Amino acid sequence: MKLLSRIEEMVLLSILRLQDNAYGVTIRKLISEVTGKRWSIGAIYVPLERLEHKGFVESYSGEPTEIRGGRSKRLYKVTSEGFNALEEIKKVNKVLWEDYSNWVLEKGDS
Amino acid sequence: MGRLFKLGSRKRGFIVKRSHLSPPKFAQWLLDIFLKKEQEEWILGDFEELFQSVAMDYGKNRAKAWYWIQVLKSVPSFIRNFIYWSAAMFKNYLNIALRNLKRHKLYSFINISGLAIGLACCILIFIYVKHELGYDRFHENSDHIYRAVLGEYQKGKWIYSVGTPEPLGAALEQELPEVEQSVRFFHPPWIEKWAVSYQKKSFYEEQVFFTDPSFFEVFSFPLVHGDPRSVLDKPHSIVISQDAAQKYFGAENPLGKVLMIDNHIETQVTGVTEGVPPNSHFSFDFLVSFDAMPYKWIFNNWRTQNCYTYLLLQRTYSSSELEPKLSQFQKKHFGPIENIKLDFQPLTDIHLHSRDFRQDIASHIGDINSVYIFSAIAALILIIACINFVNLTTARSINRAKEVGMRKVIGAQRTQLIRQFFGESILFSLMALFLAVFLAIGLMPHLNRLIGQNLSLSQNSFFETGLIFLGIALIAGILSGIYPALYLSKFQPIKVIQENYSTGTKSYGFRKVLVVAQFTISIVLIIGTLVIFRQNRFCMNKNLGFDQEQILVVPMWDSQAQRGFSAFKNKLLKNPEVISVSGSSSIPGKSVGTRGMKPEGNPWFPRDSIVVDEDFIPTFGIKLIQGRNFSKEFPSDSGDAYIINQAAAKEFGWEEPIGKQFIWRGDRNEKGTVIGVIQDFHYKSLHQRLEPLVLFMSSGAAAYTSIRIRTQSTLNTIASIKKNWNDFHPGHSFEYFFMDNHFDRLYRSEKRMGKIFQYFTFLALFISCLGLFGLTSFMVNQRTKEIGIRRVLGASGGSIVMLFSKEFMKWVLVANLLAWPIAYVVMNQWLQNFAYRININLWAFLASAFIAFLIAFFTISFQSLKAARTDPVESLRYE
Repeated sequence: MKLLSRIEEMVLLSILRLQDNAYGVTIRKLISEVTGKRWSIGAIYVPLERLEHKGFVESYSGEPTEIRGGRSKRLYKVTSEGFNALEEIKKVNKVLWEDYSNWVLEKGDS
Repeated sequence: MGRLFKLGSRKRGFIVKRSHLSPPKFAQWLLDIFLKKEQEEWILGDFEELFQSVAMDYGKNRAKAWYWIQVLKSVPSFIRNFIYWSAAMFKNYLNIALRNLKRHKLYSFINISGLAIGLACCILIFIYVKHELGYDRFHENSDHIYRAVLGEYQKGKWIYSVGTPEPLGAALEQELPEVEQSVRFFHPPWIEKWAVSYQKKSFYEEQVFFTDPSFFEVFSFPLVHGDPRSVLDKPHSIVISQDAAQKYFGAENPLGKVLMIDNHIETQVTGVTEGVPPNSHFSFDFLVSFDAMPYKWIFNNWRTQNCYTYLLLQRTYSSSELEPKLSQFQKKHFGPIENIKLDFQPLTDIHLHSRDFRQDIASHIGDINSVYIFSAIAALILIIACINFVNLTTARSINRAKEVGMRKVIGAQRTQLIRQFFGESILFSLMALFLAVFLAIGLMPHLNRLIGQNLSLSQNSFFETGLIFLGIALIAGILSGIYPALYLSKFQPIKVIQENYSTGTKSYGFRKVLVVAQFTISIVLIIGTLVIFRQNRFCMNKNLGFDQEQILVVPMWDSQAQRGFSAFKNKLLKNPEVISVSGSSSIPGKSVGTRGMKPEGNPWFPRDSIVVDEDFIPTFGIKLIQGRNFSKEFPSDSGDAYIINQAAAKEFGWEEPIGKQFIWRGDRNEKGTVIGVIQDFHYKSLHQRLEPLVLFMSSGAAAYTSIRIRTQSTLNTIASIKKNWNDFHPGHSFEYFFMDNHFDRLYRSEKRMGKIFQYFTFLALFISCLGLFGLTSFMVNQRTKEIGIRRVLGASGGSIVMLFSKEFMKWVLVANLLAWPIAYVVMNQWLQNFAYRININLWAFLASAFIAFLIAFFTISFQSLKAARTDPVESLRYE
């Protein structure tokens, strides 16, 4: 299986963190806050749609609200495949990040 | 989209409430374009939610700006997303298309080859048309260079002459502030070639112009040596082309060399040009400064029309802007004459819009009509090829119906199917384009030979050419894809997947219309070819009013030879092969000079005139109707006597022409008397109407020596005349031509046109037949069983062929009936180019109908005979 891309990973983790309130606006807001970069709204939908196609997330319609001009939300939920994919990337990350602090120290010494 | 909040009343100074705001509509619409239907709801919702929160924090203006920025920033991601998904589907479509192509080789071949031929025609014609439209645009100032022309109102229309008086340019430059610079050319029609010599080398040159120093400031011909602003400033300076420099001086440096013109004008080379590009309406090898011009009598003479005047204006003007000033100017210099009009013609119009102009400078005159005709042919051939595609695809729709049904069941939307079929037709046309480019490269030399040009595919930039071809291919793909896409995508899945669904009957009527259209176009082209052919033959065989057989013409290019004409004539008359000899300033088919004159009771105007000797009329076998010929016995004939043609007598309104008076050269008030009237003879090509012609007499000098010879042993005759010439004018090359050949050459462009028409007609027919062939083979296939049963029951091969042909023949008949009126109108229009023309008669129509029937019949029987010949057992076992 192909590994998750960085952005897909971030989006999946944000969806988990947002729990029942994960949709375009909130996901973008969270990612923007965490990364400190301004994401255009459109940039969020591309990974979302790919994740859905790969079966890592599911989506369902929310209620229409006034502030949205009467339109409903599309809320996202991570599927079990999604969790598996996250586990996998986590393993990879873990191996790669291991001993990082040691190297930083070494660099600081020299 | 339910809009809950309408824009409320907004007053200045009010704090805008959230609920009264909505995002900019146009931005929303823009966003909407890129969204899939199912995404619309929530993505627009997300956008609006954010918009509202920005509006609450920062106010509505910031929010609107923010919304816009967000939309624009998001567009690239949406597009990327769109492409990502399309690519997946595209792979599938491509697979299916290629599989279909492989499985049905015959249809694919017919489709692609037809389109390829059509596209190749389009490419070739496009290059030709682009070349024709691109004349004279290489000059930096091309959009504000104009040419002065003089119009004469004759028989209800303005006839323009390019020749203008010598002082015109300078006067315009002085009196009209709009005119920045003027250039005169002197390149008189009565001198076709000039003797140019360097030391012992001497050639007769056509492209000699006398012109002003401003030449290189108005036009942008690049100079290899010399400064464009001053190169012609010195008296008796000459600028030559690189080719000419090579010819006369070889490897030597041409600058400072002395060239002799007409054996007596000494000029010094001061500059060398790169040469004239092929898309310039005039071309030159030698530019001589104006002061060296030997015909001083044209100076300051407003009644001559021997110079060409080009003007550099400040900017581009419309003709209505200039008209009042020009008419004022004209009154001042030409007098209050109603039937003359001075006009400016834009430089870039010259090549294509000067066909009826008299005395033109251009060596190769184009015609806007042929540009139109060829563009139309290109479009028609492409349409024929597209029709093949439409016909064959819809005819085969039964093969695709199941696929369509399947796709729909799985969930394909109609728009997706339409996209798929469009993609397929575009794929076909791109494949065809690939072949077409090779075809066009292969055919280019043929086309060049036909039109006498040197065009190539690479004459424009590679990128531009590629883009345009791609554009043409896409148009072809879309044109041929529309109907099949809409038709095939309409199928109902349930009906289609059922066993015995038969399509094709519905689209049958439409296919019929298309085949009729194809044949209509082909038949129009056949009729066109036949009419052009007959008109050309008519021109060759028309009685010209003089006897053009057995006249050998020796042109006398240099003035030394011209002045010595009498000596040459005397030598010739001793030659036993020679019957008679005449010297004249022009001959039929060469441009004649004009001379300003005022016939009794008529206004002053330049008229065609030829200076002849007393033997001109008998040598050419022209009939004298009234009065007498010029004669040496009347010394006053030389200068004071005129012979006019019937057209002149009629135009001047003279019942009794003999004895009428002419004034010519109004400044000196010289008069002459009419002594004879000749029958009209065609001294111009049959394009032009016979005009009033005035013959003057002058023996002693001549530009052309016309020799009537005895029939026997032409080769010996030429040899003996050559010997006479060499005795008379040693060291100068002997040039000659026969009158009849020379006259035939006047119709060169029509002959070319006829040839080109022939080729394209053939191609159109060929493509139509390909389509018909495909269609019959499809129908034969469909009716295999029927044919088998008929055969078993005893039907003959012939009757089976008839079964198929009857239907198609009906269509061809309808096509004929449609084509005839169209062809009649179009060809009648073309024939208007000729003052003397054939009538279109039924013969051409019947012949083309016969050809169309014959070809259609052969195409059909080829396939149906094959079907009829197969063993009925085989055909019944089929499927």
